Amino acid sequence: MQWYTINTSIGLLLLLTACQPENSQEKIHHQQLFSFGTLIDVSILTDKPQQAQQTIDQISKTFDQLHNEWHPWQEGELGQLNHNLANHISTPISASLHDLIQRSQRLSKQSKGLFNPAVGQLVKLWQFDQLDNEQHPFQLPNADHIQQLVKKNPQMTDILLNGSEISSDQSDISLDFGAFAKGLAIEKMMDILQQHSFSNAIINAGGDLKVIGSKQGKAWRIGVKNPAYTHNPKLNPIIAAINLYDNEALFTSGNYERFFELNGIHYHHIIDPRNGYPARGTQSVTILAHDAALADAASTAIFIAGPQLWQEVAKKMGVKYVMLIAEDNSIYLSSAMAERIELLTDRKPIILPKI
Amino acid sequence: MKLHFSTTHEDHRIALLAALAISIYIIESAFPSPLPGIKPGLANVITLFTFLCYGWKIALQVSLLRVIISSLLLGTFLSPTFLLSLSGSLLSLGILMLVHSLFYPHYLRQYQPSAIGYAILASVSHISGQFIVAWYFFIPHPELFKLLPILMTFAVILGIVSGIITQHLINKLCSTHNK
Amino acid sequence: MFTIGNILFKTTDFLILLSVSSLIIWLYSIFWSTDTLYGQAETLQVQYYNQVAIDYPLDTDRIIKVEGSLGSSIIEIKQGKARFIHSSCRNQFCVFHGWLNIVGDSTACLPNRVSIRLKGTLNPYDAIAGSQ
Repeated sequence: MQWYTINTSIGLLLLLTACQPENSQEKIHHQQLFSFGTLIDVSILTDKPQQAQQTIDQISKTFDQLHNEWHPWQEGELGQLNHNLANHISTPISASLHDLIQRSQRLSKQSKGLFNPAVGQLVKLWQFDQLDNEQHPFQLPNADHIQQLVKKNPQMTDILLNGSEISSDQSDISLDFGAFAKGLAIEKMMDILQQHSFSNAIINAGGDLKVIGSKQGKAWRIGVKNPAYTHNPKLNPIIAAINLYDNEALFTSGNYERFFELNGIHYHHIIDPRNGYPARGTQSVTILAHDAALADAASTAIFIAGPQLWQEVAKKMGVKYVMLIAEDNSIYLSSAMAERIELLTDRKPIILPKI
Repeated sequence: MKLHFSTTHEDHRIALLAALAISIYIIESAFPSPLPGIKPGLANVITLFTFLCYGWKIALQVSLLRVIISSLLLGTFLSPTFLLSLSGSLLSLGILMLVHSLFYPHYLRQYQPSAIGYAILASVSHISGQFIVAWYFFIPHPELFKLLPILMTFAVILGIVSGIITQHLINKLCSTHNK
Repeated sequence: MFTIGNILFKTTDFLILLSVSSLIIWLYSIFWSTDTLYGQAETLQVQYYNQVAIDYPLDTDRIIKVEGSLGSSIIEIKQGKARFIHSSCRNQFCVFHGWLNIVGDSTACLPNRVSIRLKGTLNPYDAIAGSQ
């Protein structure tokens, strides 16, 4: 019986030490930023709040800078490029914009053109570039104009990269990276954090987020908003919870995010490039992936694909974790997502077999 | 040729107890459970009785024989059910040994819990062992934790019942147990 | 120590029952309480652009008026929850958002650069995903 007592004390000791936090000095340093046309929450788990604040200031500057460079209609680099594309002028571009264009060309191809940043003219026709303009009088675009643009079918493959010069033969091509820039920007911000040796953090840009590291060994726990809560406050505001591990991003595209209303009809910002109108059939798509830029592009493409086609598009784009909430409120989950996500609703999800 | 096994009195005892536990376990698994995951666990009465009456070595052998042979008979050997059963039995026996050793010093011996206290611990740790394995290997879903307190509540009730039964058995059958 | 019939109950048995029961109650409180769903909100953080945020306790109902880039935003605190009831912007996304009731959740009137965020303890989520 002697060895019992020894084992018992070792066991108890192990239990006690397991309960101690790794580093009790570490706290969440949190800061809100208005940038990139949204509200950005930066949370860093650190014992050096001052250095964290300095890094957040740098992140804030970089976000502003990228927003300016990648804004399709302002005087930044992309705005200039769009102007030149319309006038068939070949333009030299920076390495960072080059990277953005190249990656989106690849993703656009994988998504069978559903993620199509080349339809900037359609976005403009629908005046989604004016959502932040308080004075803009919204009106329904002329159906013939929409038809013309859809027929011209501008694609990312129409963009020609010659070294660092960009040109196109298509005159109705304008690049709008609204569905992609945020993801790539978050990736860059995470690089900045890691350069400054912050290895446990969340950057949440208006509900699209990426995490690195952990919360003292525990996963980051994320609540996913219920898209229907806005119309019906009696519902649970959170539809699901999910634990995220190092280097995972969670992106959502929803029809409730950016929209205008005209005569009681809701026109949202996710345009289906196949017909030129706001995509129908989906309320929101949430994607989990390591690469935030991929998650961003895929959430848009799968939103447009809708409940019928989404599996095929997800497979082509290489995303495993998908939740799609259809217009009729049914919840579709990929089998990998079903294993990860905790639904906080009585609605039974439709779980699709492995892709 | 004739094979000859020499068996001890202890082997007979183990065989008898294991056979009892296996029978109870198999009869129990023939009845549908009113709630998934909840079974009376009367086979554990035998393990607890063996532990208190004959010590941990015999209890461990009986318990392992029960887990392995009944899984072979039910065709669940090495399946998730088998692993759950094994993990529950091992953790529950481990906890019994731990508590027993805590009260082993002679000045603490008078505070030894009775069969009921042991049965509650055995039953709660049995379900915990199964739960940990289920969560870790089969359903790593945090939502599963909502079930934990419910399962534990039933474990306590069933633990008290099996404790009372064990106590009766000890009173009737166990000559070595110091009351 | 007492006996019923010939069944023996000892003090240690009751101590075991007591500790196991409290463990179970603790497990219920962790996995079944509404605090684990929404957390316990204590203060509302109100921020204009990059200025220092101001915290308001949630236990007293009040109306807060914040001057933003375009005009004023009006925020209501009521029964431990908070929401925008008016903002000087056309789309009123922040008003559509409705009540904030989860610790860590925030919403903003972006054109007016005014944001609100619930702070508190027991926050069940480290971040809220899905757009504002």
